Amino acid sequence: MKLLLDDRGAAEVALYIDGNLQFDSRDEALYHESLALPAMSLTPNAKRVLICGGGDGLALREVLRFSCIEHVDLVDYSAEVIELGVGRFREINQHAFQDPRVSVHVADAWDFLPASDTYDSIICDFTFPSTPVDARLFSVEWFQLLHSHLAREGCVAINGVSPQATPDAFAVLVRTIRAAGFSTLPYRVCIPSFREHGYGAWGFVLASCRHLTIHDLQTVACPVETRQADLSALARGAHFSRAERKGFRNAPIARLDNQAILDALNHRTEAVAWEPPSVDGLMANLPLGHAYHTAEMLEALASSVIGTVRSIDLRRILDELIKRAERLPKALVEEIARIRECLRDRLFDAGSWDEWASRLFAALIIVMIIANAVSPDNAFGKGAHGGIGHASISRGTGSFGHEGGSFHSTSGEAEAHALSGTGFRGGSFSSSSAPVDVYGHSYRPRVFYYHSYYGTSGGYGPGGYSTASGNGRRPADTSGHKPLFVADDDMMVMDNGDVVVTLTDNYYLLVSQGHVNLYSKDAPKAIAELYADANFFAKMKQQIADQRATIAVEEEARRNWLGWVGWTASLVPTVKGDQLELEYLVTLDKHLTLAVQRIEPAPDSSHVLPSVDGAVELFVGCALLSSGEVALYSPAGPGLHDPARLRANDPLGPVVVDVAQKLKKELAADIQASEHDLKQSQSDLVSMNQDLSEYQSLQGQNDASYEVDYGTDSIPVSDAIAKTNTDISATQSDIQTLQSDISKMKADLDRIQTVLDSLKR
Amino acid sequence: MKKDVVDAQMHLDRAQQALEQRRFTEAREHLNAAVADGMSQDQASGMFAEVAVQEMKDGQRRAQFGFSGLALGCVGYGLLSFTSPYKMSTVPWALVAFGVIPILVGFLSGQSCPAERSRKGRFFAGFGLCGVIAAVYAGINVSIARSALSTPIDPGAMTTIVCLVSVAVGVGAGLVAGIVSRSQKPAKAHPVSGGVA
Repeated sequence: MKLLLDDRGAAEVALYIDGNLQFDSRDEALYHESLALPAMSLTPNAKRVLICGGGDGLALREVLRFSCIEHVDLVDYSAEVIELGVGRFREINQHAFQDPRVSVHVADAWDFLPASDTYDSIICDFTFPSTPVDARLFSVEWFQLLHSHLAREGCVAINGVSPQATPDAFAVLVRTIRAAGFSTLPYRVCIPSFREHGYGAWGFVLASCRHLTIHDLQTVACPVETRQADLSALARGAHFSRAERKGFRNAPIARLDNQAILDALNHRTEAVAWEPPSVDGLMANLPLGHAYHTAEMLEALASSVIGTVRSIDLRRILDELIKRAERLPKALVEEIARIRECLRDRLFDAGSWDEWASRLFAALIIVMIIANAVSPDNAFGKGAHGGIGHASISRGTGSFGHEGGSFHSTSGEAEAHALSGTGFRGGSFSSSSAPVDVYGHSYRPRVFYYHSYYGTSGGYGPGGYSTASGNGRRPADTSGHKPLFVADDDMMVMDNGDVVVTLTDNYYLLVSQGHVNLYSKDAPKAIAELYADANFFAKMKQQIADQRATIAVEEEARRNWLGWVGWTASLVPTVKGDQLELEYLVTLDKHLTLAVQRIEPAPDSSHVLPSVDGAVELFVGCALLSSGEVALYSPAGPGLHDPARLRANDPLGPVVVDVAQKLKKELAADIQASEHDLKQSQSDLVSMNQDLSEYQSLQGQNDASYEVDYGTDSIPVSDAIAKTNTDISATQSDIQTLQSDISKMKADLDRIQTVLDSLKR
Repeated sequence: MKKDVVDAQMHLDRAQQALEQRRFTEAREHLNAAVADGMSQDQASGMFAEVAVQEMKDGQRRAQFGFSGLALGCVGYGLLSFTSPYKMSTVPWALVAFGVIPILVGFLSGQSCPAERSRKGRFFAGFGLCGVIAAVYAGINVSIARSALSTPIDPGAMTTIVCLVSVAVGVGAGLVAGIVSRSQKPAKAHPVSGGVA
């Protein structure tokens, strides 16, 4: 046992045993009064008292204040602590050891108690258990021993553990005492010095053979005056939440052969050989659906993190610190030595510690990436990312009154995932074989074969469908075209400046010279020319403008850099690579400029699709109406097409089915996610209402300034009620919004399903 | 005896001349020689006191020049940090970074040197002062310029680049400042041994 005395002068001292704070003279009275006085007060006319532990004499001091006491046995196995109590702490314990009623025994309480008589009160002031030997005095066998040596109306006060920092261990303790046949009354007290050390609120347990209730604490009549503790307020700390009370009932019982208290303190579980999660397994199950978050990228990042963490050798760091111990305060050296010992012997299996740490770090990074993929923020964006949205360009023009969501994977699974992330140095861009995005990520090479038809070609009109190829227009371009630039999840700029917006793996829109044509990947002929919606064009132009702005910023940064270091290109290959990147960016900018010119003339701003309430937009110019009909707008004007007409070998049918199925999957996923959120919010609401009731109850019993735990803070109960009310209102609002969204999405889903069913028939 | 009087007067004249040229060590040597040749202690004490006063004033003046050179260099390159070789275009930037600022710093550095300082010493005074400021300026600005790029860079390559650019800019600016500092001619010396034949 290692003792450390933090002597801060005549009046202030703190005692540590094995690194754990035992008391700080500034608030020790609060601790010892809270421990000893309730038990003593609940045992009127107690004559014989046993104090187990407490060699510092401070609990003894409290006991001796009761005039009815005739004899006190103090048992502590540490002669050193008793010596301190007799000597250094004599002023603090008010010379308690000199009282003739006291008998001091330097012995193990475990051995002492069987040979002793019964006691009216017993105070257990043991230190924090950290070894199996310590844990014996927290076992059911020990408490059974106490039970057999306690007078029928007697009371036991037990110094426990923190119900805040180690709730599991506190639950084990309460459960164990109950299992020994005691009625228990657990309570917690906020002791400032304990909080400073991170122990949180401290827990005590009153135990008796008679039935104990909170009412006993509320009405406790203490015949002696207290200095720091307010005994009438102790009952406030005896309120435990439903979950905590459930823990008291269900926690394991600490026995000599199971060390449950140590397991709970160390958060260890029995018989479960936990393995660190496999990074490969995590990677295999990642829902990667974002163009900028590829499996390769995440693997590289995770490997990097793992490597970094593995390079940290905590034990070696501690060894080095020990070597330099001469320059460190003695107390710190002792603590470091204990941490090293702990690392070596107890808490961590040396073989698995770095595996655990590294894989957990990697998992954390991966979770952060996924979180940012779902909800990107500025901190995550690199460079000048502002302005580049990832929302779908193929939908969401808002003309149908439907707020278009992201259509992340409409460009096809292989299309959306970058194959390399080496920037423009990769060489793929220069070879023109693979499209790249603004960050230089290369994508799978792909070729689109199409004829461009300008002017009013076929499509749906009031008179029905007419084929696009039937107008005798000159094919402007009949060769295959490669996408050069991936501007968004579903928008690509082709080598000739045309813009392709992919709808599904099989269908895409070609935007060129003010026209929007619907194509299948299997045929160079356009299926139909669509309504050239001004909003669609504006959004697309804005998208390209944003990309160009980003490129301009990147260009500027490289020019600036090369202005300094360009002359070193022949000496440093990296600079040569930067020069190459600059050239590619310039070329890219030219292509985007060409694309802007190529999609012109954009339709007049008044040339927008009418807004239709309740419509589900499939793609620009095509929507499912609330009536179940498919509305397709051709350049000539709107045409309504019910499923029956589409089914009759209509070339538009497969397109609608393909896109609707895609949308259906997305909606189903969105609904599932929203329902999960809804359940979570409802659960939160129930929990908050319970908290509110408890706060209101506490406010009723005390005043508004009574401090309660709120999250990790301790705030006045009135503030806690106000904050909880605000949280409840916000959560209720969220629930309403979620319910509304879910209803709307379900209605959309039903409509899509109806149309799909009709088309299948 | 008459020759001693003549020698003392000559040393006194030389001391006066050295004092005017702020060559204080030489002035003291001539005064010591004049005392040895029979100049009165009262006259010598006055002259010694005058040398001490002038030396103190000259020290203050040189310190001001030195501080001004340092301040001008820091402010000049600090202001230049608001732009870059690319933004300003290379030639105007080079004129300022390797011309205007080093010339001014070199001049002030030269002025801060004691009159007895050799040309070589003056060169290195200007070179060191301006070169260090310019190198620090280049190193910081290169690092900032690189941080604006989204692509990663190998730390070794980055260190090499920063060192190369810093040394190049520092040496370039330092050379100009050193030459300007060196070009300020020290006053001609009249050593005691050479003056008393």
